[in-house]
Amino acid sequence: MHKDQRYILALKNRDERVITEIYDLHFEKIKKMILSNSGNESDAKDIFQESLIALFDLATKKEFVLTCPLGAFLHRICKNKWIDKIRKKKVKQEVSFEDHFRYGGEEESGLIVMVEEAEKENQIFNQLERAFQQLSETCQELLRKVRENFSAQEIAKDLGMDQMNTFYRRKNACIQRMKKILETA
Amino acid sequence: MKITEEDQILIEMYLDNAISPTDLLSFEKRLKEEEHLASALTKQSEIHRFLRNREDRNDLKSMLEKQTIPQGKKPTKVIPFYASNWTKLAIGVAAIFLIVMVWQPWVSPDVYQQFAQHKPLSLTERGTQNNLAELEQTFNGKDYEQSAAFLKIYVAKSPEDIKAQLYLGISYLELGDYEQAEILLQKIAKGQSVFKEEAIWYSALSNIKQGNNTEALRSLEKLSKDGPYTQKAKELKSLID
Repeated sequence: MHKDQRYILALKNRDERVITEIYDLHFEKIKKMILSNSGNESDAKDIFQESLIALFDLATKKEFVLTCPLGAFLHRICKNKWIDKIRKKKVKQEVSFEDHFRYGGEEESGLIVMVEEAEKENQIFNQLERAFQQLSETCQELLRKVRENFSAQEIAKDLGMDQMNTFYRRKNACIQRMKKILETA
Repeated sequence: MKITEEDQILIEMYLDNAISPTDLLSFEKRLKEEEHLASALTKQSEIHRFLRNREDRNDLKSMLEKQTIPQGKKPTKVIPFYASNWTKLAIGVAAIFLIVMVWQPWVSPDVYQQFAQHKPLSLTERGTQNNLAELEQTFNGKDYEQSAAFLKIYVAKSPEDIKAQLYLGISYLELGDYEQAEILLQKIAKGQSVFKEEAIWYSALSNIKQGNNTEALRSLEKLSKDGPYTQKAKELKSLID
């Protein structure tokens, strides 16, 4: 586990002080990279934010452990996200990225795998969010109650359902609806 | 093969840790034998994880949107500095002293490992359930993923068992799930049970593992002056203070 794991905890806890520290330490470098590749400050802000959310998404996996410096991870994922955006905008321009964090060997491949995984999780979570938005108000209300650290009993009680069976049947119906939306998307 | 509604519900309950121990065993057996059930579990676990973290994710998003962007540093004017040889020597010595004090090369990076020597878990004397031996074995055999899963079920059924809560906290700590570990440890540390001191000690170790020595020192200060952890705390302090 890398010592920068504490930043992951800060993202999960939405620790404002430590998140500001992340911006202070890394935003300038990312901004510089994007400005020198046909982007502006607002693009840099969006890309940096999206990358932190992708890291959060990856960190929701119980087994996730950060094994590289946060800066290396952010540099790589921001670079990938910016290349994707440029492609979508169809900007025909030569892009050149200085790689400040090239390790080589196993560490480099570990970083690549971690970034790819974060991008995949981020994509899945974004699709799920879009599906969630298309659910009925009743389903959204029920599923909004599902949060980390809350037991099913507490949620069912909160929704006024005495029987756990009723709660699970309704929850399952909403989840199946979400799956359908995803399949037809 | 199409999955039934009953199985979908069973999967949800399994992911919620709300399945009874008897159903749990038969469900896990079926997972090994029925490929379509295992595949449905994988798919559903992604949605489950998304839903459990959705609200926190949205809160983080709004927080990041409000984040003020740091302004680039302005170039600072360099003022030439002329110093005598003695001054230069004094600055050099002070700089080396500072580097050594901040770096602290004598502090082993494995301070946590050195001090996290867990007492074996033994719940059998307090309970009558047959599967407790299996539960203890997972913790004592350092299979913390399993011990956390088992202890979570056990604690839900026996919320009065503070020892089980403490060991659940230690399992989370070993897994690096500091958030869950801290919730349990802080709760016990604030209580008046016989595990109070142990919970404070582990709370300090949690800070050490996260690299937060200042917070660890604060936790150690809360230990009683002649308790079971006094000596260990002294040794730990001398390494991080």
